[in-house]
This record gives sequence, structure tokens and C-alpha cells, in this order.
Amino acid sequence: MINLTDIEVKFGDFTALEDINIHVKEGQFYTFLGPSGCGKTTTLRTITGFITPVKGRVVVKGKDITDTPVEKRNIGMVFQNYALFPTMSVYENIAFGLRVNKVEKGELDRRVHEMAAKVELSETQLARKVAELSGGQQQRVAIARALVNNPAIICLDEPLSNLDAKLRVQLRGELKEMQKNFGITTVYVTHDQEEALTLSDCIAVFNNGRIEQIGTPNEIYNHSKTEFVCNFIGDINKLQPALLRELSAQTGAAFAPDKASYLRLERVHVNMPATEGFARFPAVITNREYYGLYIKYTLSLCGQTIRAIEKNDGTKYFKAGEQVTASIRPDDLMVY
Amino acid sequence: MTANAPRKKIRLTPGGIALFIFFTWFILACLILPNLNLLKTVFFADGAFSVEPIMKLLKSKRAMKALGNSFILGPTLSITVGFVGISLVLLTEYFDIKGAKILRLGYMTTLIYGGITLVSGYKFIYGNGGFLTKALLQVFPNMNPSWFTGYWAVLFVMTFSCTSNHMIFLRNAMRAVDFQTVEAARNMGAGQFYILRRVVLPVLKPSLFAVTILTFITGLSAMSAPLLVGGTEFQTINPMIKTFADTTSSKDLAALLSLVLGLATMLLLFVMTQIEKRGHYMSVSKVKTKIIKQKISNPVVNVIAHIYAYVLFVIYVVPVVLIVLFSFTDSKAIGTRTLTLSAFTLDNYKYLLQSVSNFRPFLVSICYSALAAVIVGAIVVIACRYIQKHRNRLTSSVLEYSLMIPWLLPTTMIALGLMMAFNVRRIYMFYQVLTGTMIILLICYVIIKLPFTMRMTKAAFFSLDDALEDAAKNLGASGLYTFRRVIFPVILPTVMAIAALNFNGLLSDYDASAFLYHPLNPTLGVQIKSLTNDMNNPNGMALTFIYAVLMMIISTVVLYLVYGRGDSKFKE
Amino acid sequence: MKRCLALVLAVLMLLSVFSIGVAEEATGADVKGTGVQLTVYTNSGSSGRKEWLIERAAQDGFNLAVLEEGAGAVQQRIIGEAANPIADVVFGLNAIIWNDLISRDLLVAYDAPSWASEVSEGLNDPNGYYYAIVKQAIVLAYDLNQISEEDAPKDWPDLWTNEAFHGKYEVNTSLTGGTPRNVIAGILTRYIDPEGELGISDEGWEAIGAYYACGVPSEEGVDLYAQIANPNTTVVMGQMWSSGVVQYDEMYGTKTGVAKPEVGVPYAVEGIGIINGTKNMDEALRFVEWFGSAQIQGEWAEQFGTMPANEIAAEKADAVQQELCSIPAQDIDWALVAENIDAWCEKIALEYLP
Repeated sequence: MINLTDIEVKFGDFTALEDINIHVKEGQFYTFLGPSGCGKTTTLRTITGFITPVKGRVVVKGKDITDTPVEKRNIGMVFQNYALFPTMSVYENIAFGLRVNKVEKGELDRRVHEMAAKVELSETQLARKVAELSGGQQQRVAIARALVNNPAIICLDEPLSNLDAKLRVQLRGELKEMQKNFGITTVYVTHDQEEALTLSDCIAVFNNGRIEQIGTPNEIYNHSKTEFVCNFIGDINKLQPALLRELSAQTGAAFAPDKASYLRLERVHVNMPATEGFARFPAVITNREYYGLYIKYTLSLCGQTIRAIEKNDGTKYFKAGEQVTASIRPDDLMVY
Repeated sequence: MTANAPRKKIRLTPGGIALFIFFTWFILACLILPNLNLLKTVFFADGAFSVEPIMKLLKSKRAMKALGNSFILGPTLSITVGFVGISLVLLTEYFDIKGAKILRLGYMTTLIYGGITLVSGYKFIYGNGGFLTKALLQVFPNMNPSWFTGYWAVLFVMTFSCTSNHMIFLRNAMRAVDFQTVEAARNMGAGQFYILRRVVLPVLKPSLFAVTILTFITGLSAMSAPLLVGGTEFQTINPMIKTFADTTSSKDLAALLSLVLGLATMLLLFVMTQIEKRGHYMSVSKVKTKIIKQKISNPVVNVIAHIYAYVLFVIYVVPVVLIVLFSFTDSKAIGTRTLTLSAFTLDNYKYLLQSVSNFRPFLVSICYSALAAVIVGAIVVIACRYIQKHRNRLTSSVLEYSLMIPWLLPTTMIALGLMMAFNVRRIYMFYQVLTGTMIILLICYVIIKLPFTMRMTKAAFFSLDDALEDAAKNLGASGLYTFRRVIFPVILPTVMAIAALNFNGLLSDYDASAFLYHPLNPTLGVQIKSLTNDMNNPNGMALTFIYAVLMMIISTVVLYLVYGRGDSKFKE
Repeated sequence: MKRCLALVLAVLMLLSVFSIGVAEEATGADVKGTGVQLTVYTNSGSSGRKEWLIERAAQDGFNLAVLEEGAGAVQQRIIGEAANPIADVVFGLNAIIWNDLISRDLLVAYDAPSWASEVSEGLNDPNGYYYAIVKQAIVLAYDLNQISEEDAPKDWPDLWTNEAFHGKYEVNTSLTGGTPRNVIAGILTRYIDPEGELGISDEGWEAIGAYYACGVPSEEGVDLYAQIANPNTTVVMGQMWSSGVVQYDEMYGTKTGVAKPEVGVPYAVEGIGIINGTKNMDEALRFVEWFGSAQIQGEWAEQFGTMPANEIAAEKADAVQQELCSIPAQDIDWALVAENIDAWCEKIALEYLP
């Protein structure tokens, strides 16, 4: 559906993107993830055509659109601040793209209402000025406006970034729901790893204008290809040489103590019965954070701090200062 | 991250080429060549450049002092007008002051009159024989009845008369302040005045900066106030420029002096443009909240603020009221500033109503001013659009500074330049002789209003959210369609407000009209001037007041139509 | 917006319809116009003069477009339009400007109209570029209610040589107006010295400097008589033109007396000339013949209180005018003044204005 090959973007002397190769399949929810300034929005704007790369091609549905102007691309976009037209009503905002394409009046009206219904905007809301809407409503207007032209692709640039947490989770759900219903190929930009993991079929992790890893949420999370990715996604423990040596000694695995080795929090098991393939360490609980759904413990073992997560299923509950054992499986380590 | 998109190739469209040709022609034919032609005849009168005019000016104590005074007035006026202007905006838009709506109308009176009329209004109160002076003389019989003269008098009058731009542009900026930021600050425990200083005013900074520069320029080129209340000790340079510009052989001095003022102006603008490029504050929140007027919590401060607000109101309104009252009297009452019941007469109005020829100048000036305001608005909007789209290109800077050229020369000389350039067939005017036609005055009106319009319109363009344009393009809209449907509606209120100001300013223009008006269609300014110059009509002075009052009415109507209504229409 | 534009255009069109005058046949002077449109420039068209002239001329078959402006602006326009003159005839102005226009070759000399011989001696241009129609004495006027004739100055130099008058008289700071320029010319030409700066002796410059230094500067928008009538000012006298005296006295309740210097006073001579390059020479000549005639100048004087240069028409002027204009004319070399007045005014503006 979308093929980016060898994209390079420069702003003056500064190379913003280099060596970007991305392939988005039809109907996929594809996320560009990374910290701010990593090039994810730049890549998105290269797809929509706001930025022309100095090198590389943008191909959509087999057609090279690298030099096609923005307005000819028919790729929907939802902006970070929505960019709703302040002088127009909600209705006019949604109808804008149709008017541009000279859609006949009756048809236009029908499609605006149809789209409004899909994003759950009421008739009275349609007549309002955009400034009178709440953040969530504004987002829905922005999405409706982007979808009304029936684009094959929709691009969303951090659309949830400045909403409150609860609204964010709710809209995230709605967004995914809508994407499923419309079956539309979606490119989504975010710096929020949780959003990326829950929404995406495929994630591209960006850093410093390059792609670190492309993969499914599971691949990205459990098999982070680079040290950057495993640090950026989720919480993680970095293992110190002393622990690595002890681990090698117990299991016979040969971990080089000088290599960067990481272990996810949920792969450290507290007071697990001895199991084949797991090494066991005596440890002391130094701190406990209660989350409800789970509990986060901080352990002290082999002279370093390790954090672990235990499901709050009522079977275990440790106090600070308690002596416990921690089980770790060498296979769970990510080594770079 | 969205800024600084890589340069796109220039796409040559027929429209683009047409615009390029138009602007190249316009700048050369209307802005550069006529003025160069004039400067040539002025400075190279005998075929060679002479430094004599420079020496003449350097030798003249009077010229040097006037120049110095102008440069004193500019900065001090910026400060005092800034203070009063900010006060006005805060009192009408930010703090909860009782009767704010009426106060606002009072503060906006500077929009409907100016120049000699306005200063005369002030003299009715503070001048020799004025109301306040008479009252003060009762208390202090030994005081100088001509106390209201010199630097402080000029500063006083101008401080209150130059707040028009604040009341339009700064007020708009204030309305765009995101109230959530105020609430957030309060939530963090900030006091009212701390919020004002740290949260609200910084958001107003770009607008404040723009209007302050304009005030500075107004101060540099002050005319009526120094003439009327400057006395012998505080004369500024512009009246002198005017005198020289009106004298055939002294034009070199006029050009030289106005170049000094013009270069100072350009320097300011350059600095301003640089600072503007550094970026500006824009509201980043998605859901803006409208300002809720703040009640001043400290009761003492609250009372003081109310007193201050109403004192300002009186200062602003009384001159207008007096001008209206005096328009019903004769020249004697006006000249001696005595308002007695017996002096009241309807004769002035009767005289005006007697003949159609007294009205005709109104029609002529209204047509000219309206056309000029629309044309200059259109030219500048197109130019700003180009500059906005191609920020870093050389052509943008050339275009911008070219349109500022009229700030370098006094209006009289621009008019003369046009007259001299186009009374022969010039290839760049398509072999058309323009002198003696109706169109040349229109061209001149357009030219003299370019710089101000450019300055303010550009500010409006630069406060636009780029994402709006991206969004429209993304939805398939062409550049032109985007501009027409999205960008233009957003800036329209500002464009209209500027057009209204231009219209009102041109309505009574004399400097340009004098040389260029069509024999059959004298303009209002010409008509008024001929009344004041009329050797045989001692009542000419009174008649000018009638014209002033009628102009106030027209200006008020225009402001209401364009700005008052637009205000509510585009309220966010 | 479109509708606004349309409205503006409609009004403009209406205006142009308006301006097509309707010529009516009527009786008057002997000469008749043919109806060819003449463009006339003048500085003497206010107070209904312009309208009266257009209407009166129409009665005798002339079709006039009259442009009315200050004298300086009329002069500037004619100079500016030199390459392509718009005007056919110009009347009014003063000797200084007439001589400037002549020196720039902007006027044509024409055969004396029949009435030229009726004009007072010495007022017409000897070379036939303009002929006089109205004369105006530029006087030093004072208010007899505030100062007696014995105490009043007898001539301009008294103003600065006699301390009693310091601060009592207004000096007009506008150097572009016709009247102040005549006053300046009247003072400076007493000190002609070809060796001096700009043809004036040092003594002359000192005199003009003292004139400005000891007077009260005029105020923009307030006329002399308002200052005289205002009890809060010290001003009791200043420069005045003869035809304004009657009306000002009426309005302000003043009683004007004038200084009658032995050397005489400057006369601003309003003349009538034909623009070099006119395309309607014949009609212009007819108009000159008509307008300067004793008949029309007499009507003009009756209507507007002017003092005709035409001695036959002069009888129609009122008594005060007759008396004011009986003061002898100061002997002034107007060509010399015309050549230098700009430079003189420039020097005054740079060095002597208060």
C-alpha cells in the first residue's frame, strides 16, 4: 500500500531523515514511535506531501507520488492541534474537502451527515462553531473531516497528545474501533509507547532520524532489536556484571559481563517454586508500589537494584525488608 | 518541527506569472521611478550633486533642534502611549470595570478624528482661554494662561490621541489570550498583577511591539500637535518638511529631512522584522477559553482603577463633545474659545446645506477613499500571502521593503513625483498621460497607505496557524482555494479594520489631493483647506468644524459597519 | 464587498453625469463664449466665487471647469503639468507667482484685451503675459478698540524698532501663503544689496530676524482676528489683506485701522493669464476679454467686495475698499522678488522663524 524507499530529508544542512524504508500493508494500523525530534512526524509529512525528500521515493498503491502535490494525494490527515478552520461551522469544516472536490449539493449533505453520525456528532453540534466544542468533540470533527473524502490512507499526528488521561484512553478505543469499521490504512504518529502497543498492527521505532526497528508490538517489546528500543519501550532492568556472572555460574549460560543486558520487570519472578531453566537468587524487598492491577517491588540482589512486577491475584504480598528469592530465566535477557 | 520545510521549486502558473509581472511593474512604475525622478530633479538640479542642502541644514539651529525634538518625542511617546494604551485595553477587556462598554466607546473616539481638529479640541480645554485654564485661573490668578504649551503639552495631547492602534490591534490580541493560562497561573497561587505581568502581557508582546513601533513613527513625524501646542520651544521636523516641500526651490531640504526620518523608520522596521523572525507566542491549547473579566481583588486598587478609567474617559470624550458644540458657533467663538449661548447658530449647517457643491467633495472623497482602501488592501494581502509562503526567499524581502518605500518620503513629495512622472507619456505607464485624470489621485492614495497596511496585515498573516493551511491542502484544496476559503476568512477582520482606518485617514487627505485632484472633483481635504484659506470668509474656521463633525459621523458609520459588526461576527 | 464596489462605481458615474454643466443663453457682457470647455485654475474661487463664475459665464456661453486651490498649489500644479498642460486660463495669484510662471515659460503673451487700458497704471505686465483684474493692499492692520491711531505703528519697521510693539503683533509662520510672502517682500526689498546674501544686505536680514523675534507666532487653525479679539492674548495687530477687513470687523466686532507707510504698501495684484500650450487659445482669449471687462469685474466687486483693478469697475467697490486701496503702492521689483522669494523664505525657515 505505502512504500517508502531510501527516504532522506534535509532541512538546510541538518539531515532530519536518513535511510528510511517502510512498507505499510493495506488495512494495517501502522505506528511511528519515538521520542520528540526523532523524525516520525517528518516521515508522516513526507507521506502526506508537506515535505519533499531530497532522496528516495514515496509509492502508494504502486504509484510513485514523490512529486505529487499535497492536494492531489487524497491522503487524510488529522493534525496534532486538529487545525480546524476557526471561521467555519463544524458542518463546513467536514464539508470542506467535498466542496473542494465539487461534490454535488445533495450528495455532499448526505455524506456530511453520514460521517457525522459515524463519529457521533449530533445535528446541533454540526451547526456550532468549532471553538465551542470540547477537545474530544474537536478530535471527532478532525477525524470526520479527514475521512469524508474516502481517502485510502489516513495519517494521524499525535492526535491524543494534549488530552487528559481518561479521555485519551477512551478516544484511543474509539479510534481503534473506527479504524476497524472503516478498514482504512492508518499511519499513526505517537511518542506514547502504550498507545503504540495497544493500537498497532506494526510499529516503526524512530531515533535520531533513523529507524531502529520495525515489527509487531510483540516483536518490538519482547525482541527489541536495539538497546534504544528496549529502553524506550516499557520498563526494564539493566543487569550489572556481578549478577550476570552469578547467572552464568548457575545456569551454564555464557553471558559476557561487559555487554549491555536487560530484563523486563515481568520476567523477574518473586518466590517462584524452583523451575527448570531458572536461576534463583536470594533477595530483600526494599520498596513496594501498589498499583491495584499489579504491584511493583524493588529488590536488592547481587549488590544491585532489580524491579519486579507481580499480579495482584491475592496469592502473594510482600512487605519491605522481607527475605525472598528471585527467579530469572537466561532466555528472557536481551543482550546487546 | 514543521518550520523550515525544504525549499520547493517555484512552480510557474499563469496566475503566478501575472502577479509577478504586476508587482514588478507596480513597484517600478509607481514606487521607484517617480520618486527617483523627483529625487533626481531635487538633488541634481544643476546636473551635479551638491552637498549644499546638507550644509544648510547642519548650519540651521532651528532645523537641528526640530530634528532633535522629533527624536525626543518618538521614544517618550512610545512609553507614554504604551502605558495609556495598555491601560485602555486592560480596563475594557481584562479587568471588571463598571460601565466598560461606555468607557470603550469613549476610548475609541480617536478613531474618528485626528489632526488639527483633535488638537483644537484639546485646546478648548487646556489652551489659553480654555475651560480648564479658566477654572485654574480662578484658583491661581498668577498662573500663565498659556501654560499648555511646549514639550509636555505635545506629549500630553499625543499620548491620548495616538492610542487608536492599541484599541484595535492590542485589544484583538487581548481577546485571543487563552484564559486557561490565567486560571492555571492563579491555581499555582499567582497574584492578579503577577499573572498580568508574567502570563498575560507576554502573550500580547508581539502586538504590543508592533503598535509601539507605529507609535514611535507617529512621534517622529508629529505634525498637528507641535504646530498647535508646541509653541516656539518645541517644534518638530515634520512641519518644517511640509513648508519646504511646498516651496519649489526648497524641495531638496524637504527630501533630505524626510529621508532622515524615513531611514530611522526603516531601521526600526528592520529591527522589528528580525525580532519577529525569532518567533512568537501562540496559544497552543486546543480548547481556548474566553477571558472572564477579572474583578480587582484589592478594594483600594479597585477604586483607584475605576477613578483612573473614568478620568481617562473624560480626557478622551470632552474634546469630541466640544468640537461638536463649537461646530454650532462662529469663528469668533472658536478663536476665542468662549462658549456662550448667544454664539449658538445653525448658520454653519445652513450654509453647508445650501449648495450641492458643498456635498460633492464628500461623495468624491468617500469614493476615492473606499476604492483606495480596497485596492491597497488587495495588493497588500496578495503580497503578504507571497511573503508568508516564501519566507526566506530574496524576492520576499524585496517585495516587503519595496512596499515600505512610501515611508521614506513625505506625501506631498510622493504626489509631486507622480505628477511630474506622469505628465508625459512614459513607456512604463503604457504611454498614458495621467495628470489631469481621475486615476492619478487614486494611485497616490494607494501608494501612501501601502506601508501601514503592509505592516499590520503582515502581522495578521504571521499569527496564522500553519496547520490550517496544511489541513486544507491535505483535503485537496488548491492554494488559491485554501487562501479564499480558509486563510482569508481568518484574517478578514484585521484586513477590514485596517481598511476602515485607511478609509478614515484618506477621507480628509489634503497633501496628496492638492496636487492631483481632478478640476471637476475636488476632494474633502481640498474643500476644507480652501475654507480655512479663504481670505474673504471670516467664518471659514467655523465651517471647517462642521466638516470635521460630518467626517466624524462618516467615520463612525464606517467603523461600525466594518469593525463593530465584524467584531461580533468573528468573535471566538 | 462586491456590492460595495458596485455602489462606489455607480456613485462615481453619477458624479461624472453631474459635472456636465448646462449652458443657458443670457445677457451680459459684449463677448460671448462658444461653449468649448475651458479649464480655469484660480486661487480666488472660494466663498461661492467659483460657483458664481461658472454660472455667470454659462449665461454668456462659456463652459468652464474651475479648479480652485491655494496660490502656491496652483503654481505647483502649473509647473508640474508643464509638459502636458491641463489648464487653459489662470487668474488670481500675485505678482510674485506671475513672474515665476513667466520665467519658467509657462504663460503666453497675448494682445492686450480691450479693457487693459482701463486698468490702473503699472499693474499690467509690461510684456503682456498677464493683465490685472483685482488689486489687494497688504496692510499692517490693528484694532482701534485696543490701540489708538497715534499709538499705532506707522510702518512695518516700527514693530521691531519700537519696544512698545514687541509681543503685540502676530507674525504669520506659514511661509508658503501669498500674504506673508508679500509682507516679507515688502520688508526685504527695502534692503536690496547685490553684494549681500541672496541680494539682501546684512541689515535687511537683521531686520527680518527682528521682525520674527519680536512678534507672536501665528497659530494653525486660528486666524489673526480671533487672536486680536481674544482678551487672553496680547496680540492687537498683524498682516491683513484689504478685502477681508470689512467682514472680519463685522464678525469679531473689531474696528480695523491700518498703517499707512510713506513708502506705500505691497499690492497683491490678481491678474489673468493664458497657459502656454492651451489647445483653446481663441476661447481663452474670449474668456479673458469677457472676465476682465468693467461689466463683469464690477459685478464681481459687488458680489464679493473686491477692489477691481479696472478703474471703471472700481466705482462699484465699497467705500472701505476704495479707501484702503488709496494707499500708494510700494515700489517693488517683482521680477527680482519672484526670482529670490523661495530662497529668502528658505533662509527664514532655517534661521529666523521662532
